[in-house]
Amino acid sequence: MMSEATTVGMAPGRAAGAKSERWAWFNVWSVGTVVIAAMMTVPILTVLYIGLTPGDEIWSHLVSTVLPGYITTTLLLMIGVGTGTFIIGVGTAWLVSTCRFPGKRMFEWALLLPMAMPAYVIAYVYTDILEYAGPVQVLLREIFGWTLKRQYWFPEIRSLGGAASMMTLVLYPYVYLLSRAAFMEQSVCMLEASRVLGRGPWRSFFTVALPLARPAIVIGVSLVLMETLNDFGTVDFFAVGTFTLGIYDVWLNMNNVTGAAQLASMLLFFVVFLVLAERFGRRNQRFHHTTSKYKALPGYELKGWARRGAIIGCALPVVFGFLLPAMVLAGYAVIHFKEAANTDVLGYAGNSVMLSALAAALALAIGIFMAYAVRLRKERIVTFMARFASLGYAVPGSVLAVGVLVSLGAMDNGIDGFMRRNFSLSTGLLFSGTIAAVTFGYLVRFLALSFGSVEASLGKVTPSMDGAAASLGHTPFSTLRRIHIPLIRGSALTAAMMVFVDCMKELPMTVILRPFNFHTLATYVHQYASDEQLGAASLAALGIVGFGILPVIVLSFAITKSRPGHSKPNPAPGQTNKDQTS
Amino acid sequence: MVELTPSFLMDYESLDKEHQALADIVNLVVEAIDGDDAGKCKTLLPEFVKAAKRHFANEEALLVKIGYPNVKKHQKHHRSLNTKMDHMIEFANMAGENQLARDSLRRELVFFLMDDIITTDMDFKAFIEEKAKTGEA
Amino acid sequence: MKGLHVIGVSHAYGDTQVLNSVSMMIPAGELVCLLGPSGSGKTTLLRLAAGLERLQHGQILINDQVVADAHMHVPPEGRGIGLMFQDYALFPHLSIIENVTFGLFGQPKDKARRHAMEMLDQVGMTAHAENHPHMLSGGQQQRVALARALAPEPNLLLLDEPFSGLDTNMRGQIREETQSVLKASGVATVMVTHDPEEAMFMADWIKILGNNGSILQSGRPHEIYYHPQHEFVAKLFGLMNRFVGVVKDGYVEIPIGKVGAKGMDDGRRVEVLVRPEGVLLESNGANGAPLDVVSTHLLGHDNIVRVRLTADNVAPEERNLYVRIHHTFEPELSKRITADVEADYAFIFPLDGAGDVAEASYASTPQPEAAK
Repeated sequence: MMSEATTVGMAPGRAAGAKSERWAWFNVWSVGTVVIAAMMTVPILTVLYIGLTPGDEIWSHLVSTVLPGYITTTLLLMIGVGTGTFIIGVGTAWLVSTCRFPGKRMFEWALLLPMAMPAYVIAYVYTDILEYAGPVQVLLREIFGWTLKRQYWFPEIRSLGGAASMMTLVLYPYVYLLSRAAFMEQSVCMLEASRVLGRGPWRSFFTVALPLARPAIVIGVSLVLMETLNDFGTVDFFAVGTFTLGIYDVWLNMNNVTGAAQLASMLLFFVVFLVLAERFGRRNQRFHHTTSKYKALPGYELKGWARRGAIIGCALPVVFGFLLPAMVLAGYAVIHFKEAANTDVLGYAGNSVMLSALAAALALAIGIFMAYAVRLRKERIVTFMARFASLGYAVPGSVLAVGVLVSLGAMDNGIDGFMRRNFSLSTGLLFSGTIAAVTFGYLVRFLALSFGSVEASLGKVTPSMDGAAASLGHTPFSTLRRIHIPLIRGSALTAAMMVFVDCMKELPMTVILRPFNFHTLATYVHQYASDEQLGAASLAALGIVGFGILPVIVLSFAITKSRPGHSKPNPAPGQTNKDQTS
Repeated sequence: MVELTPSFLMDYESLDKEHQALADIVNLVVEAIDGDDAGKCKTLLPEFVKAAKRHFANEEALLVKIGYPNVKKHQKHHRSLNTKMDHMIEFANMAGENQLARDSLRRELVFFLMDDIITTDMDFKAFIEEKAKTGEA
Repeated sequence: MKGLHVIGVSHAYGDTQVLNSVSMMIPAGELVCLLGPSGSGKTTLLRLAAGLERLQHGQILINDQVVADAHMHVPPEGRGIGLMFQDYALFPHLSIIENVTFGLFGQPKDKARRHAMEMLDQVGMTAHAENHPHMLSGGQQQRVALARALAPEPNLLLLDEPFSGLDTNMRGQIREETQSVLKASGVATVMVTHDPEEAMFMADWIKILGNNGSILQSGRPHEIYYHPQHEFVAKLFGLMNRFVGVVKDGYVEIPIGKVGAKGMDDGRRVEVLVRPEGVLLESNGANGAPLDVVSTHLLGHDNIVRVRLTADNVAPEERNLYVRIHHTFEPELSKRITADVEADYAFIFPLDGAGDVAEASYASTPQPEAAK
C-alpha cells in the first residue's frame, strides 16, 4: 500500500501537476487495479485460449456425439427455469406490491426464503420424498391399492423437468426481488395516470406496469439463467446432460482438458448473451424513471376467490421452496442425529467457514481498493479493467474451475521448471489443488458482489467529502480510511456477508479445485446425498441453509425499511439521497 | 346559465324557492350580457343584492329558530360576502361600456350564487332534514 | 349544472384531518386555483375528485353525475377526467405520441393519432412526437403532459402543482401558454398550488385552503389580495408589518397613522397587518412617523426598503418595517423621511375571542339598502 509519509503535507493538486501527463495514470491505485483485474481475468482468458486454439480431434468428436444434446438440454432447462421464475417471481411481486390480502406483510419477506436453499439440497430432498420408495408414492399405493409401478403414472423427479422445477423453486426470488422493487418504484403515479386516462386496473398492469418493470425483470431472469448455467449439483444428481455437467464429465471422466475448455468456451457464448441482456436491462432502467414522486401504493383490496387465490399463490412457493424441504431435513437430522453429527462434519463446517471467510475478506479488501481507485482515478482503463474483472459472476463455476486449474497448472510447471533449471530444485505443484486455488476461484466468481456494492455505496458519498478531506491535508489513502470506510461500513459488511454465504453454498468449483480428500459442507452433502444417504448429510445441509438465511434476513430488513413513499430512512450524513435530489 | 340541478337543492321549500329566485336574476343578467343589453345590469344587480340580503336574513332567522349549532359561523360567512356584493354593483354599473366588467360580473355572480351561497348552505342541509323529521323546522 | 360540485367533503389519514367539510362548485369553463400551504389537503381534494382516493365523507358530482359518496365510488377510469401530475408521470416506455394517444383507445388508430397530433400542435410539440420522455426538457414534458390530459376531452381537468418542476425563468412562459390552451379548451379546471403568485396569475377564482383543511376564503385574486377575511389569507402573500392596537372611535392608531375599523367595538384589542406596499415614504414630509433608512434592496421593478421608526413611543417590536416602493424612488438620506399608512393595504383582525368581522349583521340590524 502507498506510504503515507511521502505525500502527507504535500499541497493537494501538486502531486498530479508534478508528473507528466503521460504517466499521470501511473500510481498505486491505477496500477493496482489493472494488475488485480488482469489476474482475475486470467482463468476466463485461459479457457478461451485453449478452447479456441484449433488442434485436437476432440472437438469434432464432441460435435458429432454429445454437443447437440448439451445444447438442447441446456436451452430447454433455461427456457423452463426462465418461464417458471418469471411467472412465480413477477406474479408474487405484483400481488404483494399492489394488492391487499391477509398475510401480505409476511409474504413480502417470506417469499425470499427459498434463496437460502441451494438447488442441489432441495433436489436431494424432493428425490427422497418423490421417488418410488418415497413416502408420497408409498402413500398413493396404499390408498389406491396399486402394487406395481406400471399401474399408475407418476412424474419422474430425476428428469429435465424435475431439474427445472427444483431450480425454479429456489431461483424465483431473484425475479421477485427485482420486479417487486420495480413495481414499487414506478410509483403509483404511473398507474394512476393510466387509470385517469380511462384504463382499468388489469389493462393498466399489462400496458403500463409490466412494460415499465421489463428492464428489472430482464435483469432478474438473466441472473436466474446465469445461476441455472452455474448449477452443477442438481444436474449431476438428476443426470441431466447440460453443458456444466458435460464439462465436468469431459474433464474428470475423459480426462481431456482441451475438450473441457472447448465446451467451456462454447458455454461462455451463452453467458455473453445473458450479460448483454442484463446490461441492456440496466441501461434501460435509467430511462424508466421519469417520476421522482413516491406514494404509498393503493393496494386493491382482494375479496373472495381472488383473496384466497392470492394467499395460495404466495404460499405455495414458500412452502415448496423452503418450508417443506427445511422440515424434511430437520426431521432427518433428528432421526439420524448420531449418524449425521459426527466429528467429521464439524471439521467440514470449519473448512467451509474458514475458506468462505478468507474469500470474503479478500473480496471485500480488493473490492474496496478497486472501487476507490475507480472513484479516484477516472481513467478509462481503470474503469474498464475494474468492470472486466467483475465479469466472473456471470461465468459458471465449472468454466472458472477449468480456467483456474489450467492456468495455475501452467504457472506451477513454469516455476518448477525455472527452479529445476536454476537451482536443481523441484517445487512440484505449488498452487494446484490447494486452498489457495479454491480461494482464488471464489474470488474470481464473487468479486463482483463486493466490488458492485462498495462502488454503489461509495457513489452515494458526495465528492465534496474527498475535496474537504484533501483540503484538510489528507492523502487519498487516509481519506479512504477516515472518511469513506466508516461511511460505507454497513453496506461493505453486508457485501462481505453475501460473498461469505455464496462461498458456503458453492459446489462446482469446490468439487474440482479442492485439495485431495478435502471436504466442505457443500461437497460433503453432495457426496453423501448423491449416494442416497440424505440422513447422514441432513445436518450439514441444514448448516448450509442456516447460513443461507443470513442474507435473506438482511434483504427482508431492507425491504421493510426502504419502502418508497412509506418511511424513508434518512440518508446517512454525507450521503446524497438520489430520490430527493433528482 | 345557472341551473339548480338536484345537487343544489336543499330539499327545504322556502330556501329552495329563494335560491331559485336568485338564480332567475342571475340568468337575467347572463342573458342581458349575452344579448348585448348589458345596460340592464345596472338595475338588475341592486335587485339581486336586495334579494340576497333578504335571503340571508331569512335563512339566519330559520337557523336560529331550529337551533343550528354553527349559526354564528354562517352569519359570519354571510357578512363576509358584503365586499363581493359591493364589487358586483360596481361591475354592473360599468357593464354597459366595459367588456372586462361584463366578464367579471358574470363570473363573480355565478360563483357567488352557486359556490358562496348555495354550496355553502349544504353544510346544514342534513341538520334541517333531521329537524324537519321531528317537526321542528 | 355542468362542472365539478364538491359537497361537505371531509377526509382524514389516520388521526390527521386533512379536509374539513369542504364544499365548492366549479362551473364548466372556469379555472379555479386551490391555494394552500403544503399539507393543507389540496392534493387530497384533487385525488378525491379524480377517484384515486376513496371518499370518506361527503359527495362529489361531475356534470351532475354523482361520482363518489359514502356508498359508491366510480373508479378513475370511469370519470372522464384529465389529471396532470406534479411530476407529469409520462410513461417512459412509450413515445410522446403514444403517451398522448394512451387515453384515446376505442377509436380508430389513425383518428386517434390525428387527434393526438392536433393536441401536440396546440402545445407546440409536434416535432417531438416520436421521441421518448427522457429526451425532453422539463418544460417540454410539461407540455406533453398537458396534451395527454386534454386529448380525451375530459369533463374536468385537474392540475397538481403544474409548474413546480420548472425553472423560474421558464415558468412565466409556460404558464402563459398553459393558460391559453386551457381557455381554448373550455374545460372546467382545478389547479392546486402553494405559490400565491402563480394562483393570482392563472386563476379566475382562488380558493384558500387553510392548515385545518377547510376553505378560508374564495374570490377573485383581487379580492383575496385586498380584502383578506382571515389573518392567514393576509399573510399568504409574504411579509407583513404587524402592529397591535386598540379600537377607539372606529379607528385604530398605529405608529404610522390611523386605520379605520368599521363596525368594531371600541376598546377591542386588534392586530393590524400592513402590506409592505402599504407603507408610504415621503421625503421632507410634514406629518408621518420619522424614520431611518436601514437598507435598500432593488428587486427590479420594486425596491424593498428596510426602515426603523425613530419616535420614542414606538414599541421595539414595531420599529422595524419592510417597505415596498417603486424602483425609481431612491430615499434621499440627507432629508428627513417619514412613513404613512395606506389604508387599502392595512387589514384589521381581532386579537382575542372568536373574531367578529368588522361589519354589521343582517339579522340584527336591517341594512339601509334592504330598507329602501
